[in-house]
Amino acid sequence: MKHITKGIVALAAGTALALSGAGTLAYWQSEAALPGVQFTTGDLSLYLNDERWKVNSTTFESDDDGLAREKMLAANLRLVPGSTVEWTQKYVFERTGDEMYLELEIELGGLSAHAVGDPDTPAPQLASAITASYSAPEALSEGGPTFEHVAGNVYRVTGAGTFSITTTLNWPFGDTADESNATEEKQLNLAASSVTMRQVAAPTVEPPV
Amino acid sequence: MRHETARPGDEATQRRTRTGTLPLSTLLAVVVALAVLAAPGSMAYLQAAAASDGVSFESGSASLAITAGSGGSPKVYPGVTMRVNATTADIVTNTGTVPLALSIDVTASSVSPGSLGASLNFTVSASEDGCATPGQVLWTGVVAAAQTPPLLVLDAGASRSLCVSYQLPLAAPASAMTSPATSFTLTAIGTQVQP
Repeated sequence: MKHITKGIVALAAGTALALSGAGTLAYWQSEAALPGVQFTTGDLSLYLNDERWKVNSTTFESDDDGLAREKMLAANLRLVPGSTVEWTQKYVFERTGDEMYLELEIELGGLSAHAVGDPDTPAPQLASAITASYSAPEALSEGGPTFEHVAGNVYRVTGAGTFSITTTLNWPFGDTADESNATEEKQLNLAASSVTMRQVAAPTVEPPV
Repeated sequence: MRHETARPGDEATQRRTRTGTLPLSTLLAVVVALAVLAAPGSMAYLQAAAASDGVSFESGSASLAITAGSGGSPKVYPGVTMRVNATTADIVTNTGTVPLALSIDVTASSVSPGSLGASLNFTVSASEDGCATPGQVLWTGVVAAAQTPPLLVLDAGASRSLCVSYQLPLAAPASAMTSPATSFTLTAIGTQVQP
């Protein structure tokens, strides 16, 4: 027991000696500060611009004389079997940031028909005779925007500027005579339409097998 | 190599441990979910939309009207050309809103072989100012030809004098002259022209 006690005392004395020499157990250190960095978030905006109407072979453009739609309605054109209406709506697309993957959602207004001046007398034969379709977006300005179709309604979009989407109403010219007058002198209504661009995640690229 | 031996009670101890931490993890998940809901912009995506007004159109109509002429239909003699309503011509008018291709359908009460109905030749012409002067001949044929092909296009609102004449050919069979009275019907048909 005495020998053990002496040993501990000797070790404690050695430790106290080491602590008293302060610099001998130090380590070196140096540092350099990294500069901060700022990011700015992108944005996405969509505005209506001019429109162009084409009823059969007659085209209406917006100019100093008025808006295309007003001129088209003032012309009081009547739709008949075989008529085609092309409505080209131009949009201003503002976008900053890198390329975006956007889902393009086009909600075309519904078609309904009724007797002229009498909304309570529907004319379903006219509404069902006409088909409505719309085109893919088409860039109108230099530098884009470009719409690279990815899948479904998803496009890889670069650039910004003006683009258009054309909606077509088509009343096919049939091969049999219709003497029922069910579609004559009726009013066809195309409800309000909307275009929504929604950012989606970039699609995952499958590795080659 | 160290071998570990499962001891009774270990699994139970772990189960107790997991059981003990479950409420905490659930609580954390709830807290995170609430935090996300409370800060909706933190997981948003960009979106822009533009809406355009609706629009209305009116459909047109196809309508043809005939103002009957006067003068009746004279009797038939072989080799002689007679005109229907020689005094005042029939006037056909497009009262619709779409151009119409005009054709004529000629029918007879009897068209049996050798009869008057089968032998009479018809000529249809049109003019803009009555039938006093010969108009452009649009069609010549017999009743058996039935409906004519489109003869002319009548624009919306336009009118034409329709001049119809008939002749019994000299080579017609004698039975045609002895046929009972035959009534003829001429029907003007307007078919919409494809835009």
